[in-house]
Amino acid sequence: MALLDWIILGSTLLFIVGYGVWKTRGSKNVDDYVLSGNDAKWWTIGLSVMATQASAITFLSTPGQAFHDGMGFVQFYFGLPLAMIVICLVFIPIYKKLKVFTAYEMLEGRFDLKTRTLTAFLFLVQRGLAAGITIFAPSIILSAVLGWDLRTLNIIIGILVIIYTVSGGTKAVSVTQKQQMFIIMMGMFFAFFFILGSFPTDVSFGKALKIAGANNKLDILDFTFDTNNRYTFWSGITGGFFLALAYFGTDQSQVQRYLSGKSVRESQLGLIFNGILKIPMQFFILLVGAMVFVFYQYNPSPLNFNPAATEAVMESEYLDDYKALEEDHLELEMEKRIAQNAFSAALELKEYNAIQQAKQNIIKINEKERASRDTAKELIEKASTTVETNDKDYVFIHFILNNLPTGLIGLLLAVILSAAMSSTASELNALGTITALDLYKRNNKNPKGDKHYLFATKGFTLLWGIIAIAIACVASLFDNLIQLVNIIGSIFYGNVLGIFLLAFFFKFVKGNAVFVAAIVTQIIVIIGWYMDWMSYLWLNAFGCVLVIILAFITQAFDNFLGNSPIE
Amino acid sequence: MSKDNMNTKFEWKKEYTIVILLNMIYILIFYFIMILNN
Repeated sequence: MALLDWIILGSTLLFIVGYGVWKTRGSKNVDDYVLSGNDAKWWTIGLSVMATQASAITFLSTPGQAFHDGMGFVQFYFGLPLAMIVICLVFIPIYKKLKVFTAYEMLEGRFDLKTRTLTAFLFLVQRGLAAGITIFAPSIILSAVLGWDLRTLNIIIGILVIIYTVSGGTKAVSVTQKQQMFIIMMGMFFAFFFILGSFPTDVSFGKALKIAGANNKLDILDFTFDTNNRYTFWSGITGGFFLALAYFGTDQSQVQRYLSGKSVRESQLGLIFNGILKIPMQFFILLVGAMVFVFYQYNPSPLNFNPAATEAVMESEYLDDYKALEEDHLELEMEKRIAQNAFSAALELKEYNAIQQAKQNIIKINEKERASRDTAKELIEKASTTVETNDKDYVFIHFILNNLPTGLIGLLLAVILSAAMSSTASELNALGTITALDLYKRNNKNPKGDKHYLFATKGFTLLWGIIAIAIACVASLFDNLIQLVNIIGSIFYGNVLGIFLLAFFFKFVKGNAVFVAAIVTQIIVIIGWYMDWMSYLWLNAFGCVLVIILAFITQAFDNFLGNSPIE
Repeated sequence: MSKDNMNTKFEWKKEYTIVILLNMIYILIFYFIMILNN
């Protein structure tokens, strides 16, 4: 990395941290620290909500997803706008009316203390793990491609976030997220236009779309009812709806963003902002990935984008096999360029038969390329059982480091680290708040003053920061990082969402029935995930429906036995 | 915290209609991008 990149990266991150600390110094009480004094405007809330969801994984993994599997992943977000509307209609007015600090505080009023404690505990388990992964995900990738020490990078990201989150609380989180979103969008736009400028002169944006389309990268919508297919229109609109409803409606890392709103209206508009911009933003990030794919039709690409995987196989007994495969890959790339040029020329001439013929040729070459990449993965797996063969998360960073000019590399690395910091900050902020208010304060037999709880909230935020760094330091890589976070969410979210829906809509169900149903549901969902009963996205809907049904049955049984409800 | 506070009127606002309409338009645009480039 050049000095200019280091300067841009370092100064961007230090400015964000410094500004966050300076701008939000001196929180006087818990209300100031946890809810930003309830003075946030809708655009601050909207940007904060978006920055919380968009972690570094989003910017590393999503373009790689489009590169390998096309842009169908955008369907995952189709349920999100509907979820935003339900939250604006039902959740926000009630949260605001009850003047709660946390989402789970509301559950005590509706059910009982043990239900509040249970949901707070479920949140701490899943969000605590997720916070570690949010730090770990960019660290493992950046350390692999840049040769930086993984543990040091985990600690640096963690400490930078801890500094301003512990110091300024929710206000520091939202103030810094505005700048982080600006850096992120600026970096992605620069990268996008740079890619377009790197195409051969006869390849316009329109032609690049045609090339991506001919290679099945623009298969954005899939209306089939295949439950084994992870991303379809239907799984997005139903499973994605439940996941978004649970995440934005019941996850404190998001709820805390809009609870800081000046009024119900400001909080609602913040989520409307997200409902309008989320899908275009994800589409744009996927489009960057599709354009990276077109870029590599004219430029050499490695057989596997993970440098650690290539290194592992090069140092093994499979070296000769891998080198032979690389030579075949080089030849295939030459063939690919000729085929893309033929396709491009056919498009110019608008000859239908020639276009179809060139397309068939491209599809054949793609199948060969996919087969050779799969063989490369098999060789890597034989060479090392520990190294990650799935290189989706490495495609975009490989492109950044090998093709972007000096300066832009530093900016894009700042994008990735800013995204990691913005998500982690919201998570630590929420974890500290829940531990301090839902567990410590609520169960403290000797009530203390506001200053004490302010100090406790800061202390727990710091503690969760240290735990997140520790988790990041011991984590190991899964199939695809973005999916890992979603899988963890899907295991817990459905259950928690069901509890909230019971609270809002089914007044006859009491605390005991909900508590028993929630415990049983969580065990069944974990078994279901372990036994692979369904695609993980459906676990949200499954957990949600199951807890509601079990609560109905338990309540009916309780009524039948004539027990007086405990509220 | 009283349970009565949970009883809130759900008020539909024009912004929600805009969200639905805009997202339907996005999906239509995606559909056209897909079929025009395949």
